[in-house]
Formats: sequence, structure tokens, C-alpha cells
Amino acid sequence: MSIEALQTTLAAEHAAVWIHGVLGGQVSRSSQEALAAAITGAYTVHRGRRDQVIRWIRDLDQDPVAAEVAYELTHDVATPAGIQATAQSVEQGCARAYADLVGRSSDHLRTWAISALVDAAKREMAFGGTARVLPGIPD
Amino acid sequence: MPSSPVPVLRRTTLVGAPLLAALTACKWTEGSPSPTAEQPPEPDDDAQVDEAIAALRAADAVLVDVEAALPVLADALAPLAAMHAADLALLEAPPAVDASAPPSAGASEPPAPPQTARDGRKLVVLSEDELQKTLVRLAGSVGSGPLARVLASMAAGVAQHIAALPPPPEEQA
Repeated sequence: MSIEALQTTLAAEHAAVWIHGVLGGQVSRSSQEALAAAITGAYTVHRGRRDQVIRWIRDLDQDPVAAEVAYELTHDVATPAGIQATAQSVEQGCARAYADLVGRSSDHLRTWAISALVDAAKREMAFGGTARVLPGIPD
Repeated sequence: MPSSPVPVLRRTTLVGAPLLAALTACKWTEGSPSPTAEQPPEPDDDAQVDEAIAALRAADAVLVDVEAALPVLADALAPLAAMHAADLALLEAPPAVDASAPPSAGASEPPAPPQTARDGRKLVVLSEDELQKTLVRLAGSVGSGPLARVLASMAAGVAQHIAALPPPPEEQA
């Protein structure tokens, strides 16, 4: 197993939790019900994964990487389109980390990473993404 | 940072020298100790690659059948066909056998062609779901990390393409 890949995954989860939290504060729960639900779901999933990865890293007697104070938003989140685009970017970033972890792990950790990769790919589509041949692997 | 996407690997007799060099470099070095006299080498992943190729071809055959029965779905299914082709090329699949050859003894009858776009779409989704599950299983079982990464990504790509399938024409506004 690669501790580096686990730490990279954790860094992606920290970013995902922070950014989805920001997006959740920007979206209207009355007029954008579906988008709000998707962001809330993503926030919950990534928070759970962050905590899981932290436990795995600590089990290896390593110090989990800390979250940044803030993360750069890739798009203007004042509009639903910007919120969706930012959420897509988050899921793409996580997918890259999961794909890397798949290649550097085995057994239950690889199974976890495969599942997370497929889920991130689906979640990207729920945020209006475009289907690609190899999600998580840069073109 | 994640490492580079391709090359995937496999039959060393089929790949060119640059690809072979890259493959050889990545196939045994990530997370697996060097083979020694006491430790047999990691099992080859050719069987899993063959199974992935067979699964992709089976899913592609469903696409061909559905398109033949329902040409109205051709545009909607084109991205899936393109993805299958890209995946097969990445796995260095050998040319497919002649589909017009007579079926072998004991071969099951092909399913009846779908009559409606809704049925055709349903058939494709079921087939792609099966492909995705197979790719996930194979990604978890191969010895090579780079191959696992690509197979898992292929499974994710199938999931995205299923999600992107438009509703059948009769249900579109």
C-alpha cells in the first residue's frame, strides 16, 4: 500500500468537504431543490470518506495531512451553473485521487477505492458533467 | 500526484518496444516485491484482460443488435460504442472473430430483438451494468496496479455513459 496515495486521497477529501460545504451555503434549497440535495449528499459522503481515510492512515502510525485553511473555488459560485461546475471539478479531483489509490493498493483498500471512483464518476454526472472514457485518468 | 494513465500492459509479444518498456517498468514495481527464488512471480493478468475484452465485446454486440433493430437509437448509443472501441484498443484486443460465422454447437439462441426504444434502452442499460460489474471485479483481482487503475476507470466510464443515456424518444418532451 502507498501511504502517499492515501495522503493524496485525504487531501482531496479535505478539499471536497470544504468546497461542498461552501456550495451548500450558496444553493437555494427552495428553488434548486435537486442541486441542494446533490450537494448535501456529496458533502456527507466525502466527510465519511475523509474520516475513514484518516483512520486508515493512523492505523499505519502515520500523521494524516491536515486540511488547508481554505480552498480555491474553480468557478464563480454565485450562479447554479457555477455551483455545478465547481462540484464537477471537486468530483474530478477526487476521482483522480481514487484512481491513483486503486493502482497503489490491494485487497479491501483497492475495493474501497474502486467503489469511490465509480461513485465520484456518477456524482460528476449528477452535477451535469460530461461522460468520459476514463474518469480519474487525465487525458 | 497520480501517475500517467496508460500504458496498460499485457501480452508482451503484441506490444511495440516503447510501450513494452513502459509496461515492464510499471508492471512489477508498484507495491510488489521483486520475485525471488522463495517467492514465485506475481500471476500474469492475461486471463483477466481476456475476460475484460470478452465482456466489452459482449456489451458491444448488444449495442449492434439493438441498433440494428431500432435505428432510432443509433445516435444515443454512439458514445457507448466509441467508449467500447477505445477501451478495447487500450487493452490491445486482437481483431474480433467473424461475427457471421455459424454458431458453435450448444450455443444459446440470441434474445429476441427489442420492439420499442424503451425496451432497447433497457436492454443496453442491463448489458452495460453487467459490463461495469465485471470491470469492477476484474480491477479488484488483477495483480498489476496500473491495470487495476485502468479497469476501474473503465468501469467508472461505463457508469458515466449509462447516466448520460438520453431517455427513449417516446419519453422525450
